Amino acid sequence: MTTRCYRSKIGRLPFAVRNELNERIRDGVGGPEILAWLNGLKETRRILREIKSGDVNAQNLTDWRSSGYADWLEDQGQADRIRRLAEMSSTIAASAGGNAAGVGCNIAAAAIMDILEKADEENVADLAKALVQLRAGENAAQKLALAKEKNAIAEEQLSLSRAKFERDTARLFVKWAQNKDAVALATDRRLGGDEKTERLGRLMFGDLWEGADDGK
Amino acid sequence: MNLKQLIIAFLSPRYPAAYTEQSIALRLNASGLLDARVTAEDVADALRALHKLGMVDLKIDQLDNSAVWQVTQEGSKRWVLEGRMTVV
Repeated sequence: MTTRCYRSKIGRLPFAVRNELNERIRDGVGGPEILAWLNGLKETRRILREIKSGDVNAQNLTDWRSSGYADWLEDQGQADRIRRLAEMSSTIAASAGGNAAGVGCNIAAAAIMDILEKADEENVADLAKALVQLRAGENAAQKLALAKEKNAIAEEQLSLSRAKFERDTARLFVKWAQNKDAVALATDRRLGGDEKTERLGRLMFGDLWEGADDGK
Repeated sequence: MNLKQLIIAFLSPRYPAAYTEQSIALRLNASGLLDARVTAEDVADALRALHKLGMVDLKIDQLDNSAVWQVTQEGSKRWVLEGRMTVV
């Protein structure tokens, strides 16, 4: 913010009047219309009486455009820049996973603001880009970590299934090793390997063996 | 511009960022807009007065119990009416 002292007729007007005048100029209101409005104000009449001066004229308005109005525009630009940075800071703080309306996020936004305000325009754009990329990288890393975690869980389940299968097979072997028919089949030298498998399968699993495919 | 106006001029364009009294004092002193340096206590007094007027909100960070201040909608409206002057 800049505090300036203006000695012109318009510069001596109250702040609120100058502010409204600046807004009218910015909005493109014509000179004659502005002068009619400005000279009709009570505050303007009072100031002009105090300094024993005539009405504000076109030249006064032209001078004001290049001094007070230009300064005002500059101030407005600074306000807009700070607001843009505040929006950016808030977005960055929220994108880190915080609640945008939360106090923590607002404090983080203030800390980010401090950094962005110290940087020049070009650096701010680069910094914002870098932060967005960093965030994208974080997201990718999180996805990768999640995928790894899923894989680890799947592997663990597979390992558990394999262990269960091995235990079940061992139990089955112990059970059927005590079955005379099964032992007779398994040790019958007249039968070939496939035949033994087929008969043992029918003995052990009954109807469930029907249609079983040995994968050959 | 008095201290209360400067605080609003500092906090308003930076919304929703929230600042401690110390941070505000530091930034206002660095702005060169004050006739004399202010302390965090001076700022706290002015903030309490603005709080009574509904211009600022006091927020407490649950993590470390730190107190931070944020401009309210009312404070922002006043800032716009006063010409959006900004403490850079």
